[in-house]
Amino acid sequence: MNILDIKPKPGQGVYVYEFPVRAWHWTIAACIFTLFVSGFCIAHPPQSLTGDPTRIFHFGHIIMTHYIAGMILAIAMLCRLVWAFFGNAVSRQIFIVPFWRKSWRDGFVGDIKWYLFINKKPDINMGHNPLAQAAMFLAVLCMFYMCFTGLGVYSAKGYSALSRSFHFMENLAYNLGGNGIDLVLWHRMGMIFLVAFVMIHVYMVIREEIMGRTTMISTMTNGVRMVKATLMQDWRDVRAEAEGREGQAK
Amino acid sequence: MAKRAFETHYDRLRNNGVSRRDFLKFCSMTAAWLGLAPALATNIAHALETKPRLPVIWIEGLSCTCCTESFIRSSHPLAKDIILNMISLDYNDTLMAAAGFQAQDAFENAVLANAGNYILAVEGNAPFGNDGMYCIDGGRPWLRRLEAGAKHAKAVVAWGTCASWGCIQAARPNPTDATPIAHIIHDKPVIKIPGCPPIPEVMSALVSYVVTFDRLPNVDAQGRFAAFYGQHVHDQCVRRAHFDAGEFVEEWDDDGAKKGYCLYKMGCKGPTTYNACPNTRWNDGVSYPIESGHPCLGCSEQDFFDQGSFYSRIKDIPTLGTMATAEAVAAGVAGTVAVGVAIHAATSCAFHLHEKKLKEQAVEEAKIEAGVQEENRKDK
Repeated sequence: MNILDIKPKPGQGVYVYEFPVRAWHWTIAACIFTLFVSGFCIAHPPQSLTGDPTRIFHFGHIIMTHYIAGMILAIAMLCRLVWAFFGNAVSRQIFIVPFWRKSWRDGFVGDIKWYLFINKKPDINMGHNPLAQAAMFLAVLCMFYMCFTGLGVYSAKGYSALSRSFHFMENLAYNLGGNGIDLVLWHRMGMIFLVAFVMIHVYMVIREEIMGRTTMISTMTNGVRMVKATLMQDWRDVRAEAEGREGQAK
Repeated sequence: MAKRAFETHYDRLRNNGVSRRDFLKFCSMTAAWLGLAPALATNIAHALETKPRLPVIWIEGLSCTCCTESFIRSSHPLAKDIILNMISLDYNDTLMAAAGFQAQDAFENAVLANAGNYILAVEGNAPFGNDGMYCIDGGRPWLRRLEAGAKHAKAVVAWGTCASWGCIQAARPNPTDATPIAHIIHDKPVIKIPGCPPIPEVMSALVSYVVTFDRLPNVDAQGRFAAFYGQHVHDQCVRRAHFDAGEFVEEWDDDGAKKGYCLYKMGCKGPTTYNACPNTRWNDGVSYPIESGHPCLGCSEQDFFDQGSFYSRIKDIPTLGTMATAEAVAAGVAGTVAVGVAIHAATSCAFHLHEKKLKEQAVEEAKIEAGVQEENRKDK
């Protein structure tokens, strides 16, 4: 049975995020944070130092941090893509958005209504909710985009086999009528999207953890998505139940 | 000197008073620039002594002549001699004495005499706007001269950023529709030597290479002479150690500027510019812009004039009909998202608390309801 179709009772959980998915999530979270900070430092270098440059390698270390974190991110993204072929249905969700399914589109509209406070009760999804899925898909695309532009900037300096295979990025910038500095600009533009994504992602996760009907943060930690026992019993359910009893009594 | 039916480069240099010692120095230097093994300097010398000289026809389109000006302004007289004689200019609008019809004839004669054998050095580019009427040469659009020159050429050298990329006359909005040479000449190899102006030594190295090896040098994916345009200015820079150390010029004329620190914060385009300035340097190896204390403008790069300020590495981008830096856009987006999140979070809190209150009420009511029913049942 597809893991996405399981409808657990309140208080029950389903193992949705397998270990590679969780390891990937926290690896890239750490990488992205490191890349934000070091990337900002590269664009706006810290206050100038003084001294013998033979013994100081301060800015070099910042750039090296950015390169190493970027390489780890690129490898992690590649591994995650490979894992989508071996993992469960949830692991494929961020790569394939089934917008052609009516149920998915309805869920998407339902999620928007829930976030606009029109729906009083969110849907229960074992995987990502449709809105989140669409956002994750864009974020994954953006991550690959960042890997390509970043490796394009990085490999412009080198002539190794790895570097040469990314020279096409800089040539793309030339063929579009710019030069290497455009590649840096594109990389920076992608960063803007990722900053916005991370802010919204963290906010939404915390919000869902409090107001939603399933667990979120612990799910990405231990892999189990629980349907909350308490919140399942919405006041409408309580009232409906009470009215039902009343009806029975009569 | 043995009499030959043809003139070699060496003959020409000796006739112009270049000593053999200087000639050999030049050969060693050229071998080093081209990245050849030291022993190959002898091959270069031998080829220049025995093979017929390679004629260069130099034509000028829409340009400012800065390429020619830089070319003839090597401070060292011998270096100037070597370079100028090396390329044995057969036709050059600026340098030759002929004018008018004489000049027209000189061009046609030079092309006919060396057909299939000469290198066409093109300085400047061709405007296509109004059928090429923005650049008239001898009463006809200069484009015709370019086509005539390229027809019999062995190879075309796009000399300078104008010819290579379009440069300033092709900057937005490009009113004359100035078009780089590689977009016009398709049937001949076009070697780009960008730079505004380009380094003169690249031309003599190119000629030496072609004479020595009888083939055109390697070019990169963009058609640039790979030996000179294979590395960023940044990676050869004399101030690179200060970059890695984190020692920057913070503002003009500060302590860092006096100590020769890195100009990255002053908008240096070195990290994205392919050129050989730090290796060959200018004015006979005296200096180059960064060494002299000015950030690199990236003049040998495509579209360098449209990349925002020369003193900022952060490019302007079109935003809602105006130009904003990428940083301003980033700050705007992040700020908007932050405000949106804050408003949504506050609304969510209110919503959540309201729902909670309703739930508690409902639970209370249900309890009372249940109590009443319980009593009713007892009564029965």
